[in-house]
Amino acid sequence: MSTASPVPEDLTYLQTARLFRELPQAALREIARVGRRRHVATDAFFFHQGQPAAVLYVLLAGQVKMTQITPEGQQIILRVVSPGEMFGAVAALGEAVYPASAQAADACVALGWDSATITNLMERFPHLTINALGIVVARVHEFQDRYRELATERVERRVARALLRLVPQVGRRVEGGVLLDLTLSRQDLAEMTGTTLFTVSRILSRWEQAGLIESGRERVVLRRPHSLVEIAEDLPPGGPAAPDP
Amino acid sequence: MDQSPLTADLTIADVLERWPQTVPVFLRYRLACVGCPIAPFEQIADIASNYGLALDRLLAALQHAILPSEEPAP
Repeated sequence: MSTASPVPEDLTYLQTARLFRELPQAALREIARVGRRRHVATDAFFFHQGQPAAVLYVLLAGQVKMTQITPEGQQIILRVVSPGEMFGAVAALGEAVYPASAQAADACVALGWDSATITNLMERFPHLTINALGIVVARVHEFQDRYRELATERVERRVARALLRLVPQVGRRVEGGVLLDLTLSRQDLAEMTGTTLFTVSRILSRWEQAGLIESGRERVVLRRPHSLVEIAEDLPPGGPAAPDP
Repeated sequence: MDQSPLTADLTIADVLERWPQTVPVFLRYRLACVGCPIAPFEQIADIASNYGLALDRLLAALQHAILPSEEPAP
């Protein structure tokens, strides 16, 4: 740990950080004093996913992208950290490894505290623990919202796939579309897609309003089958820009 | 080899069945046509409009895959 005296502007930043809300000035000064200041250049990493979680940071300047790599090798951005926000908080909770990578989106300055230091600070300043908990709870809410969106999107894809899977078997060309020529209730569709009648009805109504399908009693006409393919395959709407092969 | 001409009103399924050598063209344009359940219902012209492609360029690229000796795609 650095023993340098706190940089004055660091203190100003720490005052605005949610993690340090309502902490007395003396405590802030002490917290800043035992923190280690770290500069990270654009595109460089504070830490990588899977590395031992050793340090909790509060960003003072710049922006940090929290990213994860899926098993398929695709990178997803979990969130973007702005000045005043903490990241790498798992270090304080004794987790073994960082679940995500922290990459500087531009030139960054952060103050960091290693696990032992932050634990010690939390014991001495209970407000620090309460604030950290508040941040974690807010983040759980945020992820619950995102999970719900993802979950509903996935159902929509499943319903689109279910309809498209029927096309080669029972699809028949009719005026203005492809008729799925079988007795198909919304309940059937719900069971094919592992969801509820309510959800299927909601999705079909939305598609009907958008002109993608026409659903009557136990029959469905695909008015714009390609739009369903876009949903099922998660294609960009309107198709990719044509490359010059 | 199938001697009938390639025209914009052929369905994707017809094209893929008659000229499997066109598969790389669809992949190169990043079209979801190969293996797509609606391929029997969509014509080449539909695909061009769905994906915002110039129909004549798509036809030329397919034609080139079918008969490389003919006029290549621009």
